[in-house]
Amino acid sequence: MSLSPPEAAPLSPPPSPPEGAPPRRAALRDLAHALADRANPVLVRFVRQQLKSRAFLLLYVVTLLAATLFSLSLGSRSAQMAEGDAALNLLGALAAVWSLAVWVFEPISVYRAVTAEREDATWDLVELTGMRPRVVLSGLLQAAAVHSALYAAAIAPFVLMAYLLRGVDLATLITLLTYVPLVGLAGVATGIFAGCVGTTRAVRSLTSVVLTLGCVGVWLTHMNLWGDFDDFARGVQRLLHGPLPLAITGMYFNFFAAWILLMLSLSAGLITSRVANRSTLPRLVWMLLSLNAIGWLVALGLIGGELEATLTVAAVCGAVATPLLGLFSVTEDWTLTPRQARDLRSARPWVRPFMVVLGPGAARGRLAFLAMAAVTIGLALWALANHRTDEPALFALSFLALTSLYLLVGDTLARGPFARLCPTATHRRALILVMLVLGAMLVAVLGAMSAFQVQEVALIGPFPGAWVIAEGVVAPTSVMAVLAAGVLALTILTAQALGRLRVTTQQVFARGDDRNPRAG
Amino acid sequence: MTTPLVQVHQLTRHFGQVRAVEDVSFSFGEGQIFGFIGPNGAGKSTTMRILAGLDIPTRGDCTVAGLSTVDDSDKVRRLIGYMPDAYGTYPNMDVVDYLDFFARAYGLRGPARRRAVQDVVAFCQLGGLADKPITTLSKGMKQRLCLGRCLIHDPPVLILDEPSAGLDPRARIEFRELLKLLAAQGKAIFISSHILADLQELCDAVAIIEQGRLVATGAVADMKQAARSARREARPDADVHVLELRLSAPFERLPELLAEQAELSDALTSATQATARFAGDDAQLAALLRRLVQAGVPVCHFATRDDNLEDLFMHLTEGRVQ
Repeated sequence: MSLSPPEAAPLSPPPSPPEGAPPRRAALRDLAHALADRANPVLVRFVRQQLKSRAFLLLYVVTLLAATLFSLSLGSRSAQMAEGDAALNLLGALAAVWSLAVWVFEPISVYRAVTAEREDATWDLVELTGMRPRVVLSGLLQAAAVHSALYAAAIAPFVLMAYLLRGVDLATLITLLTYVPLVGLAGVATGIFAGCVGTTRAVRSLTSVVLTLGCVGVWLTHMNLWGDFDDFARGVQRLLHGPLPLAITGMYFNFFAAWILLMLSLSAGLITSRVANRSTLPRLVWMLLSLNAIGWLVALGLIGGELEATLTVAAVCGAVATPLLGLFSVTEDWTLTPRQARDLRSARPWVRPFMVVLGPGAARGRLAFLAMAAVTIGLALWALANHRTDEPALFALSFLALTSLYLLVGDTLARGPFARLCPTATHRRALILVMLVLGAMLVAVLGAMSAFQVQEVALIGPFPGAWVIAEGVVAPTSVMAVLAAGVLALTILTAQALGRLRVTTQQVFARGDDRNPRAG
Repeated sequence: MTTPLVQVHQLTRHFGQVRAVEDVSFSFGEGQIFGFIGPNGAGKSTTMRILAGLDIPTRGDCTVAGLSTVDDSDKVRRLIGYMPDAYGTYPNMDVVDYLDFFARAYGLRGPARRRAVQDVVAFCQLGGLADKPITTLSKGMKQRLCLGRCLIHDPPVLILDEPSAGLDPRARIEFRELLKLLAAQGKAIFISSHILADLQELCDAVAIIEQGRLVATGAVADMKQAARSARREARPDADVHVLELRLSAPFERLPELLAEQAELSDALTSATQATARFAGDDAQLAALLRRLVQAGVPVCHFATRDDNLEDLFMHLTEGRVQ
């Protein structure tokens, strides 16, 4: 920039390496500078802000003081305690203090940062920089991880002391040192999601209360565990010396990773402009999480020799996950915005084939739903052929058939007779949900009226319908009718998708009900 | 003819029943300072937000360097420095950290980032305040900091929403000088303000908006000329000027007295001041002064001048709000 400085004190130049520094140290320093330079901007900003915040410093000092007091108190009484008790008690107390900071303070602080950013007009400024929402949100998560590490540093000497007191094995210690930050990060991801939901004051008040209660609740429910740390240690031992220690360790980390990924992708979808492509990321994450779950179930089945059972479970999980995806992807607009079309056309060559199911718009949304439905049907048919009992597979197939029918009919109504009432994808989703609720209520009312003499009444609602089919209390012709209806719905959805796969764009304009962003 | 850098074409934005902006069109190019004038609630900030790519129009389009602010908002944002009417600062942050964050966010790395921050600190004369927390800065310094943030990625277009609101006279003048420097460097500046004297000195062209509709647009000199021509058409026999009157003490009958004078129209009075449109020659002006003095008006200042932006604004708008 060629800005001519009128009169100003120059800033201090960046630190230059001292002469004669050993090459390895210089290389490390260069690496550190390069990493700091490329760090997520939000991570840098949030860490800097928190380190100067009075609340953070106060909590840090309190954590340090509490850890010191507990250590002194237990250290002075350790002679009167049974061997190992002092270490267990100390670790329990340290975990309670640490988790208070990481499980309660951090998620609430990140939630407040997200809501404040969106209320104080700074969000506009961040948006203008062109940073993608997922970069902003992952920066917040990374910052929370750094803070979590700082709190860990405060209690680290005391944890070491507890270990040296003997009575705690390394596996328990490592489990504790991963469990507290992982739950904390999951809480932070939930806090970010809560901060991205809704823009009105009423919604924010509600999310704030729910998040606070949730965080405090999780912390309080663990107090019992920290108070009797021996139980925690025994539980860890049982799991690690059980039949599948590696699988359990993997699932433990996988669960937190999946939760964090889900929360962040949903949050990013919520705050992305409707002009941009906000379909691909959540769709990709949902499909990956589903595949991940199937992968784990297959692995567990292979290890435990119960592949039929685990794949049946996978089919049921798929039958629940597929309509959830469909609710969001089938109801999207047929036309794309010019920017979405540009993103679709400019996708990298290796990404392009995947965009057939991950790209924005109702046509590709239908294909995504159909792809997941195909996997679920495959799993269910395999389970039907191989598993000892048919009920779960039948449940999965009939639930998928009924929900596909609801999606097709709901979407058709929303785009046809109710088009004026349902001008947006959100309205179409709401209509389908209302239909599902009405269906369930109708089952209850008709069921009560006929005193459940006619079990076929239950077929009106997806869940009761699938239930009665799995229980085998309806006639086989009814089952065949439901499955045929499901196949028909999937066929129509396929035809619709293929018929409208060609990209058509439409300029985006504000809608009459778009809120004035300056109205507060 | 070259295409203007910024074009607003039939821009319309409705919020439910409220027509915040209705069919607004204007354009300006690089090196130009374009003023946007209108009463509160006229639709200035809404227009600016749409131009910055932060909102979507109900109809119409805005382009920056030929790119749509809706369809290409991701590309347009890099070309724009937007300063909203709210400061948009963070707690627990000092000046350099704030600028460094935005430099990082705009993708500046290593020496380029450090140089950008240094340049902006120097240009906005924030050097002595580099390590100060933002919350302790005065309003004028915060405005400079926000201008610095707009400049950190060196955009060709600046959109400044009421940048001199609440500033003291010195800060206002200093801010004005910074904007002149930026325009001299070729940046296109779109600025809204209530301080019309500032805009008159700064702007090459202005647009006046009321109730979401554009009531006039063009170069300030052209608009003055148009207003003068319109008055000349109405009174072809006389020159029309603005008469300024100042009294040494309040005079209760001043409004009635001015209304009685045939040469005067559109009189605006306060306790010890008045302005009015005067149509006539020097002899009529001398006669008017004589009559006022004879009527006992304690006149201490009596002069005519040409229209300024304020007069134009008052002439063209009616003070209606939605």
